Amino acid sequence: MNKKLIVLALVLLIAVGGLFAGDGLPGAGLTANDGSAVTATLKGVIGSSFRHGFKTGDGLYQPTANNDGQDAFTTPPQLIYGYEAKNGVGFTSVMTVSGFKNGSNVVDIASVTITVGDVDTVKNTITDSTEIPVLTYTPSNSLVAAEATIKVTPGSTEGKDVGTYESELSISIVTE
Amino acid sequence: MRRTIVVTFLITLLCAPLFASSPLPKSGMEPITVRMVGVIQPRDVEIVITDEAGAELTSGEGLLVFDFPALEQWDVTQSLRFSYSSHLASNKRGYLSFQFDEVSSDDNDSLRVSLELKSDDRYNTRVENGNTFNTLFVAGYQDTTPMGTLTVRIQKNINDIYTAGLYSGVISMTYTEES
Repeated sequence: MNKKLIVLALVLLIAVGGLFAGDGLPGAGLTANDGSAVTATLKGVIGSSFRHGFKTGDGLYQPTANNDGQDAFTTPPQLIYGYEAKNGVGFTSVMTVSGFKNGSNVVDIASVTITVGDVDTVKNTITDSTEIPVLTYTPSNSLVAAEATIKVTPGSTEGKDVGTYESELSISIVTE
Repeated sequence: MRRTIVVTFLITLLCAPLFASSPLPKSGMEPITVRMVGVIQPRDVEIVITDEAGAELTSGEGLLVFDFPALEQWDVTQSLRFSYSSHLASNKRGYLSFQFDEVSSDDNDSLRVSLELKSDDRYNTRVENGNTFNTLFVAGYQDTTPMGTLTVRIQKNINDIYTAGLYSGVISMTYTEES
């Protein structure tokens, strides 16, 4: 057989073999054939982990939260957002917040203040599509937790109709 | 040559997985959302009265002081402006009526007094019976919206004879709403 063909076949074999190779799950395989030694294969996988959400009183990050029905026009809502992560890909959590809406009436957002540690970052010009970075994560081999306090201050309600207004605050993860 | 290219391509394919980084886990990556609620409460009509100097009459009673000139005839006036602020869920109609007792002295001399009402918002306030502001209070936020002006006029003709002294009287206001 042609040498080049042999090389090609070998490479193909290795390539096809790679298709079936996976990360595998933690576990152990044990085989025993008559008259042969017993071999135990142990496998361990260090998996990545991630979760984010709004912090509740018990310290867990819940996927959703509300401001307990508190009137945002009386007291600006303040939420604690956080994540726990351990993986090989960095990311930024990015928030958007809509104006407070009641039919065609809208109470704009006057400002969003994000506090991380002792540092305040204030964003004043906000539309429904304005993306505001909240927290960033750089890849790490250990579990990293971070949190930020988000304060949303509604604008003036003068000239707006009486009624209940709703605003939606969303936080997405944007990977690097 | 062609086979070399094929082999190189296959080796590249083979090695590609070695450089792939571990992705973020899919679970928990979904966007999270929180709803916030704000409430604009209705605020009832609050009528504000200001005098000619722009001072607001805040108490339940206001005092108008007239200085009568020492002439054979005179005509003195003082005006009060009425405005309102409110934040109503729907339109509401109200009536502000004025009555006055005689302005008289201890000697029971009575002055010639008249009340003149003028609308300051011809679309929403009209004068009825010469003594009532009929006002449509408009829904939504209203900040210091003019209603009308009340002018108190006191006159003395040449033939009127009044004794010197202090004259006093009372103007009362009554507010009612359309049920």
